[in-house]
Amino acid sequence: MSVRLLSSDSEDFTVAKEVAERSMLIKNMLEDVGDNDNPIPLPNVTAKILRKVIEWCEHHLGDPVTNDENERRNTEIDEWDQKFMEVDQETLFDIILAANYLDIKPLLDVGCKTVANMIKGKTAEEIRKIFNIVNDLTPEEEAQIRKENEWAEDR
Amino acid sequence: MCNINRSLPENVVDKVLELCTMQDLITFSFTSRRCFQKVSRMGVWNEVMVNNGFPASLSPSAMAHVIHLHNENGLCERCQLFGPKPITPYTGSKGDLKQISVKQARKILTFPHGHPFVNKPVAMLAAALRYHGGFAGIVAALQTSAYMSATGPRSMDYTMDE
Repeated sequence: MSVRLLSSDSEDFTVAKEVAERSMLIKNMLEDVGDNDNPIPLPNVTAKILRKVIEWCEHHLGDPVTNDENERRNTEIDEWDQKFMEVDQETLFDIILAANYLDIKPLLDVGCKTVANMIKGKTAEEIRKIFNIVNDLTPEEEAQIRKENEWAEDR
Repeated sequence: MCNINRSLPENVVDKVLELCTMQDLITFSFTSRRCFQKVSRMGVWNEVMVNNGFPASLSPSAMAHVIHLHNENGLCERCQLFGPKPITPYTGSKGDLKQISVKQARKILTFPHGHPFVNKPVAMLAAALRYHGGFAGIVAALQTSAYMSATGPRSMDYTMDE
């Protein structure tokens, strides 16, 4: 059985129902509307991103659902997902936004782990550069924060 | 280039920060005022407490109360009424933090920083953490207290009595 999905830029995708149901949003919609041929509109996801999301869902179709908090807090990402997330930052953020909107927790986890790994081990200046953050702290404020957190750097 | 705070919704940024290590969180907090506020409002202090052997975590409402007190007054209410106790800067290593038991922490939290409205041990600890600037400040406070001068830091045990 297949399902039709309509991206925000009006591209029609036909995917297997099990693949589409990796998204809790779509799963709930399908339960509400029952079987019919009308495409499900996804106004917050472009065709480019929907294609990526479908690719991810197809690859992870048989994955067991994990509620293990330690597993979810672990920042290790499997090789396939690492490759999948090797995209420009705008696309990465769009995939995360789509996973959040479509309620695909495992994909959202992978996206968040990727961003967390981009922060890992970097200096404040490097993080600012990566995420385009403007430093609006005064030198005094910065020195104060540094002083208050000196204890954490000693490990 | 995308700005993490503008491009991603709050719940997603929170999720990302929850995956960061303490060290990375602190570095992230240096990047801007908004990032600093974001980090200081999340459960980072809870994590510090738990990582240092304190068994309980602080409820969001208690944390909000403690942060409100700190942000509004810069002092806990007791200090505001009776004057803050001078704190000696802490210069030791983080290993010394392990010298504090919950029992000893409670002593310093009830004297001189016992708070009439923040009277649960963990909430008091959070108040002291924010007031003194982390565990280092608490260690400094302990070192300046009468209790510490009587027993010395090395004689402390690392036990949990709560």
